[in-house]
Amino acid sequence: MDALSTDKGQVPEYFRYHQKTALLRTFLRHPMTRVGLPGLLIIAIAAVLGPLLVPYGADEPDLAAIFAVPSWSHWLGTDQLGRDLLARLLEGAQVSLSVAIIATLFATVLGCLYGFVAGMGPVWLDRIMMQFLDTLLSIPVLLLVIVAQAFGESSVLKVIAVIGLASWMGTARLMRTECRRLMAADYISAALVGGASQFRLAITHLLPNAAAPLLVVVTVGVGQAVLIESTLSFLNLGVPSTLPSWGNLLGNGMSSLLGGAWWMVLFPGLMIVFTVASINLVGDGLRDIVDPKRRAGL
Amino acid sequence: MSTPLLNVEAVSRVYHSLGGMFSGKRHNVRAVNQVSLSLAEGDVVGLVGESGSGKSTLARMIIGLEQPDSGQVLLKGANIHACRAQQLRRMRQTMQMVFQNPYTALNPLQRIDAAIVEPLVNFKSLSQKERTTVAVRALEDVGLPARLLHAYPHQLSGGERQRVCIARALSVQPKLLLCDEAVSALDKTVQAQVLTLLRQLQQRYKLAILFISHDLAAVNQLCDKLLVMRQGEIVERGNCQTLLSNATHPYTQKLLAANHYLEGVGQ
Ligand SMILES: Nc1ncnc2c1ncn2[C@@H]1O[C@H](COP(=O)(O)OP(=O)(O)OP(=O)(O)O)[C@@H](O)[C@H]1O
Ligand SMILES: [Mg+2]
Repeated sequence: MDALSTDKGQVPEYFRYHQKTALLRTFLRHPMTRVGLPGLLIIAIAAVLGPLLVPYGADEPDLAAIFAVPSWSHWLGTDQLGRDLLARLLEGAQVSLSVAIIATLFATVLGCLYGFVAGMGPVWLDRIMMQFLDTLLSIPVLLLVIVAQAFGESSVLKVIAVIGLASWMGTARLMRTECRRLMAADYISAALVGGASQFRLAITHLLPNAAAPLLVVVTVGVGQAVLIESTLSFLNLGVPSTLPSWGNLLGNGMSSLLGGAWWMVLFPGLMIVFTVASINLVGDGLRDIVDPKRRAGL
Repeated sequence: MSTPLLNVEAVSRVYHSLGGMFSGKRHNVRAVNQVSLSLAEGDVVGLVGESGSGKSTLARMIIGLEQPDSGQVLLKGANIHACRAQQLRRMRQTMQMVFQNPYTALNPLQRIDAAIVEPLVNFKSLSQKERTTVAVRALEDVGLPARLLHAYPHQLSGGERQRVCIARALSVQPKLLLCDEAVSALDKTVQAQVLTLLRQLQQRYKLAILFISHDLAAVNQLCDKLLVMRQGEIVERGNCQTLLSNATHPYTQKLLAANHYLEGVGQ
């Protein structure tokens, strides 16, 4: 008998399942995902199909129905120009979510590159880079973003860049830690002995083995990005005010709140909370599957 | 005399570690101390010694995974620690290594075929078809069926994995193979198979092998020459058979006695 056949502790826990379907089933059965995933699905479908189903355009003013209270004709009411709030929220979902997703992807690429250099480079470089990261992390993100946004014209691209630049640090730290951990593995030594370049090491060995925790960080990152984008737009520092992003709608609603148009604040607010909560729940579910210690503690 | 394939000249490595938590005293471990050895083409040399005697450290310095504090490692006359990273990478084709633990030496997310051809692909660009051909032949070489090409490491037994590791190391047709406890993690029958395999491959490809082990029986089965290491130094060297039948150094005698004792218990 093979003496070591039971001792496979070195293989990542999340890969010990012999079939990927088993892993998927565990994920789908997780209490967090059971709530979060349908939520995300609803939002995604609404963002894609919603604007086609609502009989009003997002920028279609109706001067006969200014500040209309939610009713059968305008489910979520209208704003100061008589534009249908539901149509604007659904259109806004596309804006807010694509900004958040693209910004997070940007941050992920940036963070991974930084993490690779720090995690695979010499120790002195790692020290300097981590010190720099700590310094950056001690500055409140929102402050950074607000200062950056206060300069120059607002544009979607700029918002994406600013959110990306403000949120790559967590990914960088994770990637660096994963690299340091994995670099001690025999298969990395074996790859080095096999003449692997740093690039190959990063792409074929480190990245796949760090993919699971990375996925968690990315998921949660999208939720954070939605929040940052909303906050910026709410403060009039985000995407151009002509675009119906959720933050813009919320900000616009706040200025009409004194007039009694509660729906213009409530529904954008609910939308943001619902989205971020769904994303975080899915992120938590992923985290529990990826991290065996946490799963054991359930 | 022509330059030998591998020449290790007085390499040393000291590890610094803090002593106790409160003493704060620096504690130096002389892991490898002034070790010299040389291997000619086709030499099969065993390196034995108790745990902690510095065998792995020596192997890692020879293969270039670790820097010696002093001394040099010459591969075909070129100092591998003095050359540039690019050059060292090219030299890897001459020298490969099989690691102790077959469960950690393969990337769990890399398919067997990709793992086997990886070192080769680092030096040559191969089409997908050529890669498959090479991988199939390499698997045949180590006595594994071609159906394992698309398997992942966790689907293989320890012995199969170690064969895959050997196939991977041999894919670039090296002249020198370092085996650091390459069979220690395997049970006796699989161990014997892998040793036989190594011997066959050694003869087929005129490989030089530095076989590190603490198992004298395994060394006896495979090696022609023997080095005995203790506390970072080589205390005895010579012909394998002669050394094992009449050791002169008391430490070698002790090692022999310990191994016989173990074998006696096993029977
Ligand atoms: N990275 C390190 N840091 C500090 N000390 C180390 C390090 N690596 C090895 N050592 C020490 O160096 C000595 C030699 O270790 P080495 O791993 O080379 O022994 P070995 O002969 O391979 O033992 P084994 O048969 O158990 O594998 C040991 O005393 C060990 O504690
Ligand atoms: Mg060792």
